[in-house]
Amino acid sequence: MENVFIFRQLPVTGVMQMNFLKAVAGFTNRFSQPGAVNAHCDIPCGIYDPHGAQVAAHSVIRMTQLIQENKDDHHALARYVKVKEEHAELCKHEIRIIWGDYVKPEHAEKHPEIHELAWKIMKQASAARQNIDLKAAEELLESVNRFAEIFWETKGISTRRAKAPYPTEREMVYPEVK
Amino acid sequence: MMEFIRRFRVQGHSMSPSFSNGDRILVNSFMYKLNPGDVIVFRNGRKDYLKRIKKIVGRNRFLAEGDNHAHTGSWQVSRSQIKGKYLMKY
Repeated sequence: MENVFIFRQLPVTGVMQMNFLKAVAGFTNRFSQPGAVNAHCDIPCGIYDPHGAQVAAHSVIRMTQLIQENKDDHHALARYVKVKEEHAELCKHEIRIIWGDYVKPEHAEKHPEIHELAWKIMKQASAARQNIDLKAAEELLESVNRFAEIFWETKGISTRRAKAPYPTEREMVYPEVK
Repeated sequence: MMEFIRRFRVQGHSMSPSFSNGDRILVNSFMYKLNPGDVIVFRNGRKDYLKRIKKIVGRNRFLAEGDNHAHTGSWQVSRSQIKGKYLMKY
């Protein structure tokens, strides 16, 4: 009875209960790993395309250019910064999906640079977010274009590089789909 | 207690941005009520899946799908397949 009395006096809040559960779960992980729960591309649809990442990388370049050209217009500046942030993150997301869900060991065997390249894109996209650095944004695009070339190669589709019809006036990798 | 609260590790991106690949979650398998918007773990074949209930389609039947619509499809799930309701990340 004494124990019950003491327990009732404790200010056990919802947050404390949650923290307790987290602590127990974390502790249990030391002895057995949690089961896997799938949140994969479920169908799987098989629809992968680096185009989204390429467009996002172009957007990062364009926003960087606009920021450099319109430093005094605070309203426009805020919008450019926001879009630059979003598209750098979108670029990372698109690459992560292809790298994580599509790239198979046999692809990596044939193109050993793919892992290093995906990692590099994550870093370069972050650098493009953190700074107003056109060179960083250009390096990001170059890596994404290279990633796109490898991606299409894994599908046996040849590519060509051409100047994109965007104000960025930078290259884009296009698949030669017949 | 851990019979009622189960631990899982998320694999994949179909629940992004709510859940990322590698997230560790706790699921309530004891007593819970299911409503649209709730995240559930259910068994399909030999695998467990993490999805969000979009709507209730019948008595003890639910339509579930991932948050990342670019990378997911819809599932009809019966109550007997459901292992629990998402509680928290840890």
